[in-house]
Amino acid sequence: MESTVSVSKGVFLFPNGFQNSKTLSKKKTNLLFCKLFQEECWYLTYRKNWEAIKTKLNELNQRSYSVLLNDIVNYIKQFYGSEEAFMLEGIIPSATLLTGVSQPDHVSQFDALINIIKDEISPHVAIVNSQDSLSLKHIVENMVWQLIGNDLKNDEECDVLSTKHKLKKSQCTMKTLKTWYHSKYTNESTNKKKKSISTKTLVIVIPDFESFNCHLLQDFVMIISSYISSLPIVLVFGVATSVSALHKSFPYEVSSKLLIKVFHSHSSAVYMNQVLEDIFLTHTVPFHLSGKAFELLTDVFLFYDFSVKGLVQSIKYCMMDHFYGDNTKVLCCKREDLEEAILNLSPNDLESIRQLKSFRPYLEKQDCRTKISLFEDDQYFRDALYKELMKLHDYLYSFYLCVKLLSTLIKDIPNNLLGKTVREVYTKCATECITDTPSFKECMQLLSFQSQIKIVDTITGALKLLNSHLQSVSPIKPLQATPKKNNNNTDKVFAHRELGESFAKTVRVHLMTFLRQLENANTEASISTAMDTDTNDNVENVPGSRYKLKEKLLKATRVEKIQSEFEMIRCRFISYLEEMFAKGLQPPHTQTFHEIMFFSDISNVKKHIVGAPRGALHTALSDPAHYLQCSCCRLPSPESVAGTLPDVCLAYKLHRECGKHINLYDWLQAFAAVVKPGENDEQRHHDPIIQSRFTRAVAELQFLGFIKSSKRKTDHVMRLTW
Amino acid sequence: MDEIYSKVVCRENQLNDLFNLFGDDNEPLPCSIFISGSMATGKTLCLQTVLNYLSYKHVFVDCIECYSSKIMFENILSALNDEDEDVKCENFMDFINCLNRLQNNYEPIVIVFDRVERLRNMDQNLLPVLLKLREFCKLNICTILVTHLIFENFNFKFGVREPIKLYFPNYNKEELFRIIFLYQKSFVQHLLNHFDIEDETTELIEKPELFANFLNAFLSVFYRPCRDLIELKHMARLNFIKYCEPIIKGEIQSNDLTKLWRHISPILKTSLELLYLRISDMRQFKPSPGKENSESLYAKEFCLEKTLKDELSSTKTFAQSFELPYFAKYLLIAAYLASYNPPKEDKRLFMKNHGKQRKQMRQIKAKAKINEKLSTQLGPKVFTLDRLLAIFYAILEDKIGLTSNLLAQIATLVELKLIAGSKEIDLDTAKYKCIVGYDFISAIAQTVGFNIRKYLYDFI
Ligand SMILES: Nc1ncnc2c1ncn2[C@@H]1O[C@H](COP(=O)(O)OP(=O)(O)OP(=O)(O)O)[C@@H](O)[C@H]1O
Ligand SMILES: [Mg+2]
Repeated sequence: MESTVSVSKGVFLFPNGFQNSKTLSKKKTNLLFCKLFQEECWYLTYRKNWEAIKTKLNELNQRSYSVLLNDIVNYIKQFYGSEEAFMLEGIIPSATLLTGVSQPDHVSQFDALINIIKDEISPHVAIVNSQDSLSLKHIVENMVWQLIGNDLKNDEECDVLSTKHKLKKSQCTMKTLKTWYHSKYTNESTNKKKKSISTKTLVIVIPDFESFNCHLLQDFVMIISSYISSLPIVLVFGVATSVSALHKSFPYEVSSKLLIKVFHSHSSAVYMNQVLEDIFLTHTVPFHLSGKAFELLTDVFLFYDFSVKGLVQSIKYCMMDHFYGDNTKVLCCKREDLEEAILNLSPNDLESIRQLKSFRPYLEKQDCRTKISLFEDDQYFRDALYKELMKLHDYLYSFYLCVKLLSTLIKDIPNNLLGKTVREVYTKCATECITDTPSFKECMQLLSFQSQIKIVDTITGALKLLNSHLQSVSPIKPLQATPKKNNNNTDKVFAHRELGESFAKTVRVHLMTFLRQLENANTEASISTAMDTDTNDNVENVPGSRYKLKEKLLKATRVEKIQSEFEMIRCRFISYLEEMFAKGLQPPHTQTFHEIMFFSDISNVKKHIVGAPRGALHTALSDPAHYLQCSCCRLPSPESVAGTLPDVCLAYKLHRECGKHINLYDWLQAFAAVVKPGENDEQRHHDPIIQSRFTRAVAELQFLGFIKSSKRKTDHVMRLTW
Repeated sequence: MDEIYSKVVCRENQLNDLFNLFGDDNEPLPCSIFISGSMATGKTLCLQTVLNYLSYKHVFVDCIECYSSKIMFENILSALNDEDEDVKCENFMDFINCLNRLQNNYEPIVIVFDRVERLRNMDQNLLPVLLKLREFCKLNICTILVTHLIFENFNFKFGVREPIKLYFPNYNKEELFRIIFLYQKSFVQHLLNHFDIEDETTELIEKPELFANFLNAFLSVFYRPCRDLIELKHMARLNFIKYCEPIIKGEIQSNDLTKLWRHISPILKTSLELLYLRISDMRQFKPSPGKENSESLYAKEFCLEKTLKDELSSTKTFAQSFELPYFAKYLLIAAYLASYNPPKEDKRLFMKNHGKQRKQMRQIKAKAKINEKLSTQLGPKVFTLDRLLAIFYAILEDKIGLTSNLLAQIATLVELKLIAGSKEIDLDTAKYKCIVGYDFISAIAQTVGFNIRKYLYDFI
C-alpha cells in the first residue's frame, strides 16, 4: 500500500502508534489502513478479492500438506506409544523432512506441522531456529524454555503453584526439563494409575538444518541422546537439499544416535503449478494477469528463487498496483456484484472508462447514433458497459476452459512446442492469438497422428475436465434468478451469448459425439484391417513374383484408403478442435474493457518485484534528477557534470573517470574545480568547506562500497567497481 | 557377583580391576581413575554395574551438556543431595563448600565424568583440580574420567596428580558374538512385535541355535567393515528379521542352514551398503496377518531402500535429488569455476577472442603440467564476489540485470552449504569458496546443458 509518494526505494516507517502489548499494536495498524482507505471503494474491492484468494490458498495448502503431515504424525506417534517399543539405548527417533530449497515457503509448512502435532500428539513442541542458536547454551535454553514455558502458559489458570516458580531462561537446562517432565507425568500417572495417562512425547523441530553450525547440532544430538532413556523425545529435521546433508554434517558417532526416517515434500515447481492452476488460472478470481506479467512472475520463480510465497506476494503486489487509487477497478469483481458496482460509478469514473484503449475498437463498430449516446448518455453507457463486462466474464470462462482443454489434449504429445503445463500454455495463449501460430498448428497435426486408443484416452481426459469445470460453476448460477433493475436487459445479454457456459456445454456435446464415433470407428477399422491382413496372408502364400508383389503393394495403399473411416472422423475432430480453439482462445487484449480485469503494466511492477540495487544506485548517483526530480540537477547528458549536483554524485562521476587507484589530491582538485569553477586553482582546494564536503562525499562512497582505502600507496584509494 | 559377570561378558579383567579399586568399605577410594577406550566398549556399562552393585553414592556427568561449569556443579550437587532442593552454585569455591556441607560419615562417593575431553577447553584449571578433588574436601570421594582419548592427549601440565589408568580394548569377533548373543531375547521379541506369527514358528524362532547361526553368518560379512557394537547390533536387528522371513512364511525349514545362508548372504551384502546410514526402514504400521500384504510391503520397502542407497552413495544422484533455480545453478557453476581455476587464466578461459595466445601457452605449459597436480584435485581456492559475478555473466548466455534476487541466491547457496562464506554480501570483503565436488557440479551442469569441462583449466 503506497500511502506515501516515495522518491526512492526504501522502507518507510508508518507511525502506527506502537504500544507495548502486541495485540494492541496489531489493531492499530489495521486501523491506520482502514482510516486511510476504508472509504475508497477500490480498496474494498481489492480487499474482497484478496481475501478470496487467501482463503483459497489456505485451503490448497491444507490439502497439499495434509498427506505428508499425517505421515509424519503417524510416524512420530508410533514411538513411545502404548506398547513401549523395543527402543535401543540412546537412539533418538527422528524424522527428516526434505523441504526443497525455497526457504520462505518452509515457514508455513512447519507451522502447519507444529499445529497438527500439537493437536494430535502432544502439546510439548519446541521449534529451534538457527538464527537464535548461536551456542549450545542458546539451543538448550531455547528448547527447554519453549517446552516448559508453553506448558506453564496452559496451566496458568488451574495450577497456581507451578506458576509461582517463575522460570528464568538461564535456569532452563536439561536437568530442569527432566525434573519438570517427571513431576508432570510420573506423579500424575501414579495418582491416576487407572486412567493410565500415556506420557506425552516431546517433539523438537529443527526447520533449517543446513544453516546450523553442525558442531552445535552434533553436541545437541549427543545431549538429547543421553536423556532419551528418561525423556521421550523425537526430533524433526527440515533439510533443504537431501539426506546426504545430514550424513555429511554428522560423524558416525552422532548419526549412530539417530534413527532417521525420510519424508519428501512436494517439489516446489509442482506446488507452484498447483497454486497457479487452482487459484489464479481460473475464471473464479476476477483479477487476472496478462501473459507478459504472468511470464515475468513465473520466470522470477523458476530462475531465481523457487519460492511460492514470493510468487504469491508478487501477485499481491500486482493486485495492489492494479487497484490502487483507481475507482474504475471496482468493476473487477465477481459477476454477481457487477451490477451494483456499475450503478455506483460516478460520472468521472465513467469518463475514465471511456478513455480506455480497448473501448476504441468497440466504438468503431457501432453506428453514429449509438456512438453519441455512448458518450452523452451515462445510463446508456452503463448498460453497454454491463453488457460488455458480462461478455468479458463469459469470455474468461471459456478462455480458461480452452486453455485447460488444450493443455490436456497436448500433454502427451512428444516434444510439443506449447509446453506441458497449463501455465506455459496460458502464457502462450494470453500473449498472442495462439491458433494462428505455427506451433499450434504443429501440435494439431501431431494430434492427428495419434492412435485410436490414445485419442480416445485424451478425449475422455478432456471430458472429465470439462465436467468438473461445469460443476464448479454451478453455484454461481443463481445470478440469473436475481434480476434487479434492468431485468429485460439481462435477458438480452444472455440471449446472444456465444461463449461462457453455453459454449462449454456445446463443446461437451461435441466431444461426446466425437468420442462415441471414434470408439465405434475404432472397431470397424480394426475389422477391416483384419480382413486385409487375411488377404495379404493369402497373397504371401502364393509363390512370390514381381507382379504379385506389385499388386500387393498397390493393395496395401488401397487398404489405407479403405481404412480411413476412423481417420476421417479424426480429421473432422481435429478441424473441430481448431475451430473451437479459434473461437475460445482469442487473446485477452482483443477484448473490450480487458484493462479492467487484466493487469498488464509490468514495466512499472518489474522495478519493484525484481529489484536491482546496483542499477538503482548507479542511476541515483549519475542522474540524481531521476529520483530527486529537481530542476537544478537536470543534465544535458548522463556523463556531464555540474556544480549543482549533490556532492556524492559529483564525486562518483569524477571517480568513474579514474583508473584502479585514485589519487585523493587529484580527485579533490577536480572536485573543487567543478564546485567553484571561478576561483583560481590554489585557493579553492584550501577552502575548508570544500575539503570537508569532499571528505564526506568520499566517506559516503566508501560506505556504499565503491572505493576502499589502499595500503599500497599513500593518499590513494582503490576503486572496487567497473 | 556371578550375575554381573553373566550380564557383562568379556570384561572380566576390567570388572575385576574396578572391584579391586573400589574394593573394601573401610579403605579410602582411589583419588582419581582415568578410563579410556573407543566407542561402545562397555565403559559406561561396567562402571554402572559396578557402582550399582556396590551401591555407592555416585553421579554420572555428561560433559557435553556442561556448557558452563555452573551446570556441571549444580548437576553433581543436586544428585548427591538427598533432599530435593534447588542448589545454587556459581563457581568452584561454592562447589567445594557445598560438598563439605554434605552430611556423610566418610561414605564413598564416586563422580563419573563421561566424555571428559569436552572439559579440556573449558577452564584451564578445571581438570587438574577435578583430578585431586579429594584434597579439597573432607570426603571419601573419587573422580572417574571417561573418554575416548588416551591420557597423553590431555596435555596435563607437569606435576599433575596422575590418575590410575584403565583401558578398555576393542572387542574381537568372538567377543562381539558373545555380547550380541546376550540380546537374543530382545531380538526375538522385536521380531514378534512386528509380525503376527503362529505359535509353532515362534518356538522355532526362539531357538538359540537359529540365532547363533544367523549371527555367525552376519558377523562373517560385517565384522570386517565394522567393529562397532552398537552399529552391529542395529544392523543385526534389521537383518535378523529378513533372516527369519522365509521361516515365517514356511518357505525354508528352520534347520536348513545352507538354504538360509543362501537366502541371507545377498541381503547382507546389500545392507552392508546401508551401514552407518541409519535410515529407518521401520514399517509405519504393523502389517496385517495376510502374507501377501507383508510381501508387497517388503517389495516396496526394498525399492525404497535401493533408491535411498543410490541417492546416498553417489553424489551425482545427490545433485539430482533436489532442484535449484536456474540462475542458482549457474551461480554454483560459476563458483566452482572460480574456485578451481587460477585467476590469471580467467581471461583466457572466458573471453571470446583468445585464439592464438592459447596455443602458445599450451605448448609452454604442456610439460609443466604433467608434473603439476590437477587443481580440481587440490582443494577449492577462495574467490571474491566480483570474480564470481564476472564469471557468472561470462558463462550465462542471456543478459540479465544484477538484481537483488540474484544476490539473494548467493546467500541461499551459502545457506545450503554449497558455497562457504559469509551470508552478508559485501563488495569489499566477501570471500567465498565452492564446497561441492566435481561429480556434483558436472551433474548440475548437465541439467542446464552446460559443458563444464570446456571451462576448467585442468581439462584444456
Ligand atoms: N561386555 C558387554 N556385555 C554386554 N553388553 C555390552 C558389553 N559391552 C557393551 N555392551 C553393550 O553396548 C552398549 C554400549 O556400551 P557403553 O555405553 O558402555 O559403551 P561406552 O564405552 O560407554 O561408549 P561411549 O564411549 O560411546 O560412551 C551398552 O549399552 C551395552 O548394551
Ligand atoms: Mg559411555
